[in-house]
Amino acid sequence: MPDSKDYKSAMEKVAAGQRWKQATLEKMQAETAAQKASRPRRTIPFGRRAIPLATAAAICLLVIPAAARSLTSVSGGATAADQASPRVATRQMPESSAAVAPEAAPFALAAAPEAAMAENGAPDETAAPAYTTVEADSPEAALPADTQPADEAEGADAALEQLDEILAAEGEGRTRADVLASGLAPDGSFAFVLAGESDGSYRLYLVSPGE
Amino acid sequence: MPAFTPEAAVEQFGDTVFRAAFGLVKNPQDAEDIAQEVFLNLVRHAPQFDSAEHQKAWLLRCTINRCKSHFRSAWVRRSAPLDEHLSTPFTPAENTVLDAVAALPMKYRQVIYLHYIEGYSTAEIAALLGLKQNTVLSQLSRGRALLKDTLKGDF
Repeated sequence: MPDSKDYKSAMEKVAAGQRWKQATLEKMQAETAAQKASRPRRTIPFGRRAIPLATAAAICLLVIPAAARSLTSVSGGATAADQASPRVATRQMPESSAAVAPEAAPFALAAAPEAAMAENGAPDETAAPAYTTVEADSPEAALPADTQPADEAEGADAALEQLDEILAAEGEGRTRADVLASGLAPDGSFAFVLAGESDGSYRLYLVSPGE
Repeated sequence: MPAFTPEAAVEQFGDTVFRAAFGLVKNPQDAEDIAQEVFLNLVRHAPQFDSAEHQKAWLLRCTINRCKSHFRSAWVRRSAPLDEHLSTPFTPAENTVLDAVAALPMKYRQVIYLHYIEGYSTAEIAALLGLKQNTVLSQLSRGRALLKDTLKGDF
């Protein structure tokens, strides 16, 4: 009966051909030359990596508004510390809670722990991911409800550029070519779905090129 | 610290990346395309590596992500996979076991490949795939059970 030894011996026979290696090296050299020809982007150091300035700005623009929304939508904004402080409690105005769009709630909930840590002054050593993990039957089902096709929408190209930069910052080798489904969310942001860590799990990126 | 240039990576890990792609998609043409795209990503993103092992782990993770995207693309969903192998002749037993592994769901196939072919421990696979070690253990166990059932033997 075939077993794991047959599996190992079969895979040991598999090797990349010299022609493939040569073609790959040529493409890599062309890519390197194209990169050198393009204008160098301004970067800021982040650990061992250099993150493009535009990427850092995009992440800030995505994470900070989500955290701010979560403060008003999750608990009405009133933590125990807030209730004890009249000065802070005046922030929790009823009209500000009512102004939050209902569809923003799931994404605001996802960002709540980071926001709470920031509120309590706890150390936040890891940056929040720029995506939300969604369990769904298909990439299309992972998009927010009522998402419209975005092929002709204004700002679609800019949103893709931002997505590329966000994915580059993650450093997992993903690009816009890995997008499985996309569309224009009801709140005006562009939604992109990529494969998650397992079958049925997807990463949802919401990009607002106008921000 | 040694220099991990993309060109040296093709020489050192070209076979590893191609073999991983072939092991997951079981189609030499698709495996070549996926492996090439992985090395182009290495040039585009220029990540910093602590060691050759770190670089290999990055390349394997990138390859697995590419293979997942490949299977979810509209083209693959609408096309039957080509039943062709490399010019290297496989024995009938090897063909049988390759078909059995290729029929596994992706989540089991990737851990079976990383464990049996790359020799990673479950803890290393968990770190590489960003999963919990218990999840890897259960996926490895279920994958093995499916293979035993298909091959009517041991695995």
